[in-house]
Amino acid sequence: MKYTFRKYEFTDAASAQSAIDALGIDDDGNATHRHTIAMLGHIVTTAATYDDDGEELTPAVLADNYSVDVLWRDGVVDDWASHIVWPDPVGVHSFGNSEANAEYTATLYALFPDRVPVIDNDLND
Amino acid sequence: MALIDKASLLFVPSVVAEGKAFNILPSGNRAPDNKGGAGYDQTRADFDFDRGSNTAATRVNADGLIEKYRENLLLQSNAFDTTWASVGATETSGQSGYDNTNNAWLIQSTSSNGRIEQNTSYGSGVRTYSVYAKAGTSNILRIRMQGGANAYADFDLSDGSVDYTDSDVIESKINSVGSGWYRCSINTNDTSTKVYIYVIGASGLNILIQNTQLESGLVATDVLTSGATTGKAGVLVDLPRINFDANGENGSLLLEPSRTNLNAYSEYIDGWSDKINVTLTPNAATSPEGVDNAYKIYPTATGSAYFFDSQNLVSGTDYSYSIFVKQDGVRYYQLTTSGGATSGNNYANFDLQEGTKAFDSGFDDADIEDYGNGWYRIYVVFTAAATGIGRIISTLIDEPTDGRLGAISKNGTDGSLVYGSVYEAGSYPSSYIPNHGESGGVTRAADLCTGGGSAESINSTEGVLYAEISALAEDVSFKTICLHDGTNTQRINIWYWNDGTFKVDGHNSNVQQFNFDFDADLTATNKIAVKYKANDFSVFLNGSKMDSDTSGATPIGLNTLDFRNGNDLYPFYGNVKQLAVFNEALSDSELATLTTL
Repeated sequence: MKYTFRKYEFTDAASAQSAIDALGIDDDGNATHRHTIAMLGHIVTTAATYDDDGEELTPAVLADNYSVDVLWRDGVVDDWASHIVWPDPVGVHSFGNSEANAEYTATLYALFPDRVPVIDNDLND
Repeated sequence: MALIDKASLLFVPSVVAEGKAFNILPSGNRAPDNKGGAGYDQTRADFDFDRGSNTAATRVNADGLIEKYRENLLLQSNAFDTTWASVGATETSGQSGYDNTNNAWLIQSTSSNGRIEQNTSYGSGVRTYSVYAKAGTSNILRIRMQGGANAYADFDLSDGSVDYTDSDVIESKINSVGSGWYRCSINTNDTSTKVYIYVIGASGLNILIQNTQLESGLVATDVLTSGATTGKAGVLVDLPRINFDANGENGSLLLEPSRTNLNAYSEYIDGWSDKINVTLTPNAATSPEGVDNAYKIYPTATGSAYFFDSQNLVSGTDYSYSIFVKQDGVRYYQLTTSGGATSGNNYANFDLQEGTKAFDSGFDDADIEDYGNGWYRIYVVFTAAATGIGRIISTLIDEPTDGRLGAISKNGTDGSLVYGSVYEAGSYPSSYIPNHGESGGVTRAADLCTGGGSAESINSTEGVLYAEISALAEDVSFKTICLHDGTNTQRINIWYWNDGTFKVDGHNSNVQQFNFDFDADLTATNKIAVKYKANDFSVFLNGSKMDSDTSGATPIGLNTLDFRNGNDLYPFYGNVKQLAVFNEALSDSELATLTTL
């Protein structure tokens, strides 16, 4: 089985659900495909802060777009290409598939060589 | 002849491989190709299996320990003349090692602080880097993990001490393994771009090293040797999980739906949202995993002492929160909620000495499960009352009747050990999902076991479908084990129905021929057998005949046994201890015997 891990953003939950349903559902709304989909929603871009008693000082800030991660089985569905995003490895979520994560990272750096981390050997000690 | 020996297909979860769950019957060559290619006996009728996750899937193994996927993220982990770069150093193989082999290497510096290094490319997360080392003409070894920061430590190999630990290191460790050898390790929560080994000191000094390892998590585990590809072990992608009780008994095939652990740091408690009046010590004790990666938590001062994980929840969704805990001086432990998404701030108190739930103010569910060696998995289940923040608060308490966030007395040592928390959407806790730093969660993909059986091992004219199974929880959704013809029109089903009952039925040309419904405790291990023959259908449960029907035709063309329906829907999630197909309609006495507990 070939698994491919990709990340997507939609304007809102409804448009994400529409794209997911287009992958295949039966009359009862059950998925008829075997891809694994995680609807991350509006992910946290800035974490909440708390005081010494654990009370929230500032609430979390959420992203405007609606994020969806997919672990594709046997190939990526091209219809989703316009929604693909490439956060640095591996973003905030994965499917716990080490080979798929490695492939995502390699593909990202092949597509965006300027985002390969610059290594500084200085230890400054 | 034992009754089970009359089976034409027998599945007892015992032998598995990536992508395959092997039957006991029919017998035949199951090696070397698990995809049905050359050398594989096509009459075996084994099951195909897939689950796209490895790092997110765990099981309890035959030793009663939680078993994870493990991977040495380095390449050429004990071949330092390739992949590794030398900077002011040379490397010579064939040295006497810690394991009585000649697989160690001499690293000789040709400039001050000479080193070897390997590039890596991993996103943020908690990882541990380790190497076996022995003093040469230099006593000081430095190992370093570079990412966004520089995490490193210096080890004195003359006396087994840690000379210096950088602040980006969570913990540095040096453990003697005999003959002057030590295993030195550091861990950090960061990205990983390069790892280093230094011979500290002037040019011309040397140190012996062997078996480097970079892995997810807080501790160095047993050595995995990487070559041109990384070394891997444990729960692999597409490997069926044979799951055992904590005492190592009752192995069964574990089939679970997809779940996401929202807690970004399931083991690295320092990474949690907030800690109030508690001191945290990583790697303080042996966890249910059997390695020393449990945290110790104890109150810093008398008063409420707690720590919590905070997530954004969706209104109306069921959530389960679980964590492994063990008393270490403090007997009682409380889980409670706060935040706008949780209603009523329920709390549940647990007795970690007796292994009981002491109090529950009103969660949808709350319970405690024994994992051996004093460890318990405690959990609570609730429904989000609104969309927004939902915190789960772990609290150390003095008494079983203490109220929410009750105060505790501090003595500077007494506390609790904790490990492995899972915050997941779902009406019951699933198996442990490690998460070492992904704030949006780690998703374990669903288990799917399909394609067993064959026309030779399934008789359409008459037969018996037998299963020894238990449900994962009292959830109400359709789940089925199905004999079918490759479509959904001809089939025999054993169902967990969506009203929490058993249902058994059969269809010929999509017309239902018989239908039995009956109540049972689905979470118990049940032995169920359905007999099918023209105008002769019956079902037995745990030794008792539950129902029968003397009218109807059998399906035709049955050739497949699936853990889902013939139309690929309603996958079976649960524990499977045994599954069998008989090519003849057994007698009532035989069916009673077969299903007797």
